[in-house]
Amino acid sequence: MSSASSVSISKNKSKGRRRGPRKSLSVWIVLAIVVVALILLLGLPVFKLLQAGFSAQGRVAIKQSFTTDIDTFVHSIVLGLLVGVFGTFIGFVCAWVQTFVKFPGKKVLHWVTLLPTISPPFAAATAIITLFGKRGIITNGLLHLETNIYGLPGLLMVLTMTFTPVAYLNIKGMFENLDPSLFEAASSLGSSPWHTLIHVTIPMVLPAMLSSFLVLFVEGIADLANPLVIGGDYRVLASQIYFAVAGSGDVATAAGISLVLLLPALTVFLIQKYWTDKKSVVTVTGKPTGAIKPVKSPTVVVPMMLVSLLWLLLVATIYLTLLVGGFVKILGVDNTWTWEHFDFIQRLGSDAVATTLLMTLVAAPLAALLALAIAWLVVRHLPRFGGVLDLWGMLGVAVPGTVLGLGFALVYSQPITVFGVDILPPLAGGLAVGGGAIAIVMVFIARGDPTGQQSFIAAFKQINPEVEEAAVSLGADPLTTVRKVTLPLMSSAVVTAVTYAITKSMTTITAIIFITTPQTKVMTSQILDEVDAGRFGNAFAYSSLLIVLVLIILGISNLLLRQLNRSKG
Amino acid sequence: MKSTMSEESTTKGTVAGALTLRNISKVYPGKKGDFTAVQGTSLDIAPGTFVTLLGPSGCGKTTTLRMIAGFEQPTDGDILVDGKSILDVTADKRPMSMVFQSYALFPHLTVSGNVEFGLKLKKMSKAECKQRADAALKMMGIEEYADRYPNQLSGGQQQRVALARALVMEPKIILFDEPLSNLDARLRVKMRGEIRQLQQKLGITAIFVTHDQSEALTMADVIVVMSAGKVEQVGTPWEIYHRPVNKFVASFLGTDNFLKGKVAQVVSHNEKDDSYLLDTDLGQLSVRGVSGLTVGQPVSILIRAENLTVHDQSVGAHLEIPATIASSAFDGEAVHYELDSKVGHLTGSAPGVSTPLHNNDSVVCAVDEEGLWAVPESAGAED
Repeated sequence: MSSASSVSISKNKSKGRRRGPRKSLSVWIVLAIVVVALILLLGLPVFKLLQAGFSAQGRVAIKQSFTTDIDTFVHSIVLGLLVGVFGTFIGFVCAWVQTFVKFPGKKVLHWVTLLPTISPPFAAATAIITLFGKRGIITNGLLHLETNIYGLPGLLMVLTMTFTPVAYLNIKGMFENLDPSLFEAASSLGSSPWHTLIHVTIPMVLPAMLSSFLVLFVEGIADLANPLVIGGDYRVLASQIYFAVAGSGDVATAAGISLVLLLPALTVFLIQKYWTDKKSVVTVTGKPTGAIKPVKSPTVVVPMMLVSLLWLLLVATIYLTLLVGGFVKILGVDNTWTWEHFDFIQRLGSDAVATTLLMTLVAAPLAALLALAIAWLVVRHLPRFGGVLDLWGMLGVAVPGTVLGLGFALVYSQPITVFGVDILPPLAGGLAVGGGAIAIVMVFIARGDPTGQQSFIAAFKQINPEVEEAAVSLGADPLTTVRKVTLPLMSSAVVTAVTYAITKSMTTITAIIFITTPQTKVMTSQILDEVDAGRFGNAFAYSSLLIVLVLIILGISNLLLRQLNRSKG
Repeated sequence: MKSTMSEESTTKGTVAGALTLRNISKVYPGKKGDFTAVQGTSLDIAPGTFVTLLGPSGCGKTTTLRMIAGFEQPTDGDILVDGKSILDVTADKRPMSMVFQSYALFPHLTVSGNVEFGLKLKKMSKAECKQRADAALKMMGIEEYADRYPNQLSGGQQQRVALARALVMEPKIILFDEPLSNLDARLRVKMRGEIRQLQQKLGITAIFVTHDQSEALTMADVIVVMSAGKVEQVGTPWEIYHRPVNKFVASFLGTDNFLKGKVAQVVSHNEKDDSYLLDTDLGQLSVRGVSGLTVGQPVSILIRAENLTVHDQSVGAHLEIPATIASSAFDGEAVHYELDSKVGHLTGSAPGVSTPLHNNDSVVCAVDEEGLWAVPESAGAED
């Protein structure tokens, strides 16, 4: 072939304007499913809530929250900030130690750090009261101190403990995706271990730290059960919402206070979103590099280890208390061995155990799938409008649990009608289809999605698009590409998404407190009942059982995921 | 756009692997106004041709390649394979595979897993997958690494896996996005030869994006030089090197010496080039150049370094330029000199066996007049 004759410039004109690569049908189908899911899970409840919140009575409640009741508002904000800062800090330290330090018993530290996620939060609160309260085993029994753990100190301790694992998993996932040569580059440029930590490591995981702070802040201001158990006189917005509904059945006031709670939650969320989005880093390049080398410098390792070991000690003590408390009559008062608490559960609680497990097994995979679908659309297919989807999905965590729960109660207690035609029967409440279980599962999904969504988005952003384009160029359609290439490359995010969705479903109480029904018993609400009645032993036994169940499910799902990964490798 | 290849060339439509770009443009909307990455590019590429898209960073060559692959959609224009528009075909259904700059190997799959990836998607039987993957690995000389993971391979081996993975699909067109830029110099030269041989053996159309002029010159049947989203020139390596249409193409292909002049007389006229008599600081010179220059038009005469030999005294050449040596570099084959002269800064060379001269030595540069070429004086691309 004459090379000169093989190419020519032609000057034909053709018209037609297009933007962005042509999308497969699968992308549109996934988008449609995601939009419908988001409308049902978050759109309608939030809309109803706004409607109720801006009613005349709701407006009065809003005004009061900023005038006569301003203390409550300030309390919530202070609590959220403190939980966000402490939780993110401890989560970062533990994640750093896991990634960069080599020491025996590392796995133990990992699992102990995660322990709080897999227990209902107020279970820890109960244990903290037993240990550090006025007649606490440690404060009074050992140290002979007169302390008052009720209020901000107790809340801060229990909430930080409860939500640190979120930050830990999030930051650890990001560490694992970093390119190790960055640290080698820093050290070869003369950077000391401390300097590297401050100027390389932290900036690289800043997006994960910021998003952790977001989640922790919102969880901190939104939590309801702990303020009820250990809050004492420290009144927060969430408990005010609860009292409005439970005390006086005043839904409009509750909705009004909900909007006040929604305001800081959404504000922080938007600020964070804007920040983190600007700081994403691509680190999985498709060009392989080695593994992260352990840091050995004692100036960094010793303080970091110290913080994480102290944390380990605190968490372990609290959960040991929980465990032992289930097997003795009244821990710290009458320490005789007994089975009576577990007997109680077997007699009255097996129904709740089965229902909770079933609902979790339905909700968790769906939540992870939704999270994956949203992340996939946002990062890979809808760069311009994806932000809206992302925000919408994140409402699941940005909207405080109490508020979302109230929204669900408002929307799904009656049939959904469009132009006078019932398109959905009631899904929440005692008279609903399935005894209200459907609405609870929906809440589980809405609450379980955001963390997974964030991890998936971070993971997608860290995978060089060329790796996926290579699959497409070899004939893989978008869904096949995700299944065969992307997912196996972000197993850490998959584990985070599924783990979080499972634990969230098993342990959530705040968001479902308004929609539990006598027909659909949920373990967490049963435990709260026991705490309320002062039967700590039963609550301890129940909580231990719940923790063991969560561990078993997590173990099985982790094993399955690993198996899945291996068969693909 | 100026250079037009002979029209007999176009093999639109019938033969496998013919690629046509019809006036394609790509505009990215931005907050500070639109950014035009590619502007009205049209090309007809015959099957089996090795085409390189050559140009500096940001000239639109990779965007063009990605539009062909289906990863970007043109804002305007059409792309045809064998005469059929592929704009409505998604990237995974296009009859082409791509080799990426980062290799983009799947880190969770072994070498054979990577190579079989696309075959499995074609629902090929296990035995056939394996047989074809083995053949591809053998062809690339990496069969012994079949069970290794990408991070256990050297850069060159990874490159071969990426190539095997693309070739095993038997695409009509293979696309390369600067695939050699991560390799060391020696390996790069070796891989150039291997890729070219394979392409010729398999008769596949290849589009190869590079900013490395020697890569383009050694590998391509046809080079498309691009700048600022536009095609500057299309031609064979020889044409691009010796007959650039403007100063941009000439300097991008490595010419440093430009002599200013003005057309005094158009001596003869051909289809591809004209002969001119030019007024210069060195007197009147008879030079060939881009056709269509007019009397009085300012021109640049390009003198390639290899056509400007440096001597310690006159060698009686017809055109000699006295100069002093500013600096020199010896690479074995030749000694390269940076020179100062009355016509400005020059680069020249002397055979490697000659005695090296010293800085500030007065020398004589003998110019091979056959190698001179005149282009319009305007610096950039012609509109």
